[in-house]
Amino acid sequence: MKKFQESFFSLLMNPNNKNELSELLIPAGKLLPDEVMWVYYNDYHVRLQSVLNEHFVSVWKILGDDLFFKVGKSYINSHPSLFYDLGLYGEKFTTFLKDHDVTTEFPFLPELADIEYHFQDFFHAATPLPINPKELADIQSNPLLGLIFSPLMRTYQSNYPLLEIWDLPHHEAKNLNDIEWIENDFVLYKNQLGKIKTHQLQKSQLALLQLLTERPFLTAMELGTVHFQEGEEHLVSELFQFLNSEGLIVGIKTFSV
Amino acid sequence: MDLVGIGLRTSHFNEWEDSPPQEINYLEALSENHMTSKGRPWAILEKLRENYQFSFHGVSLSIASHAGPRLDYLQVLKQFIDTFEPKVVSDHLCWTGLPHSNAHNLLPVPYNDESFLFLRDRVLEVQDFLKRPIALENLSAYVDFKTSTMSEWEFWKKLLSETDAMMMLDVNNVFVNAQNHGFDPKIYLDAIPQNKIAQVHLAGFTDAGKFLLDTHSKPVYPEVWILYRHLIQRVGAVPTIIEWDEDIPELSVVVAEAQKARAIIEECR
Repeated sequence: MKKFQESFFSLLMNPNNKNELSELLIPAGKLLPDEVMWVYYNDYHVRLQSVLNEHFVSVWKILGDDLFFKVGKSYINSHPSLFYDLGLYGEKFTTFLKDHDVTTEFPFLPELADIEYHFQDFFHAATPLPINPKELADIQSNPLLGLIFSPLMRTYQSNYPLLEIWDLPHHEAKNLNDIEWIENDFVLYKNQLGKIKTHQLQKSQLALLQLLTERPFLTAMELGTVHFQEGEEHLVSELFQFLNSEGLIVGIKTFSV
Repeated sequence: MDLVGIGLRTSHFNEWEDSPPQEINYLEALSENHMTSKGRPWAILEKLRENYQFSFHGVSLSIASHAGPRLDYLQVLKQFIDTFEPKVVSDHLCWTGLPHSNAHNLLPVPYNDESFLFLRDRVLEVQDFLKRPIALENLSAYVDFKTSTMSEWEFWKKLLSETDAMMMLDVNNVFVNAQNHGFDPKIYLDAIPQNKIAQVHLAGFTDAGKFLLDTHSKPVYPEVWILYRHLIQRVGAVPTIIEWDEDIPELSVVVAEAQKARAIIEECR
């Protein structure tokens, strides 16, 4: 069985490279012996390409059919699926794009692909329960306590208008030339109601959020002050209002001294 | 009441959440689309379980793989099954790739004693792990092998008689294979014991010119309805699912296909 399957799989991946199984094939219908493994080869490529199409709709829109399918074929040839769940395929597409020529013309593609892959990742993930506000009582007095944020929250600090580019497939007549070329700082997240959303933040807010992820709460708040100008206190309260209202604080952790 | 339904597909989630159809009582979920998800695909099953009986149908068991089914797959599948307790759990009599590379296709084996002995043992192992019988589906295959020593239906008959496995009898696949490999589909259907059919699948194929391709992209063809009627006349009512996986139409169109199956069951009483 092992030898048979290895021979069959080799033909499936490279129908032109005949092996000892080639002479034993009885093709379906009017297919010729030389044609039959192309049915399986084509099916393999169509299936994996269709997952890339589904996950990376905006990357597809930017590249157009011909270029996207060419990039997809190159990815499929170099990245066999290791998963039993076909829906997980494409997990390295972002990294693959970083090293691909297409990023010369479209340097934002890896970030765009990252958003698209994480969108479907969040879609399938269970929504963590937000923390009970009573549990936050000690956070302002105990210098070792810090916040745990939802794992379904991902920050983006981009030099490109990623959100508008990501939205392009919803606008048939719109293209890159119609987009104002501005920086985008935002979070992609799944809220406590299970909705996947984005929320734009100021750079100072993102910097504080980063500190809150890595440091105890009181330390983070102290260090975070350098990112805010005088009169910007409201940005801090806005950040916490956003995190609380969307249920993105899910626990408390204790940092070691 | 006879169980007749359709395959649950992501493109219909909104309709299932807002106004689930009352005309059917049976729903088949693709195991891999739900069992690793804790998001909407899982939540929708929790919602629908109150009003529909479930069948879980997989594509990645790879029971014929020389390396055997993946343990991590079986573990997740068992948890999934134990949570929802579906009426039928099924996959395909096939292998899907090698351990380091999944082709995500339903790949055939030669119909001979070596395959039979290998599969008989795998069926027993899988059923022992899942603690329940499993139904296996007949494939649409685009190649046969000179190393086959028995017909496809003879192979099935042998496997079904020597294991507790049930058959997920895909009537469309029987028709497609009959056309592609040149046999009488009624001989195939008549060979399958009535008490071994867990469920029937119906779908539409695509005529690729030189052969028929199992695409699940069209309504059930008239020739396949004739075969379905032939089967039901012999075995009586069997749980039946309409599959539609490409160019998926509105939910009502798929439900209407299921209604046709129910009508045939009624007419054959």
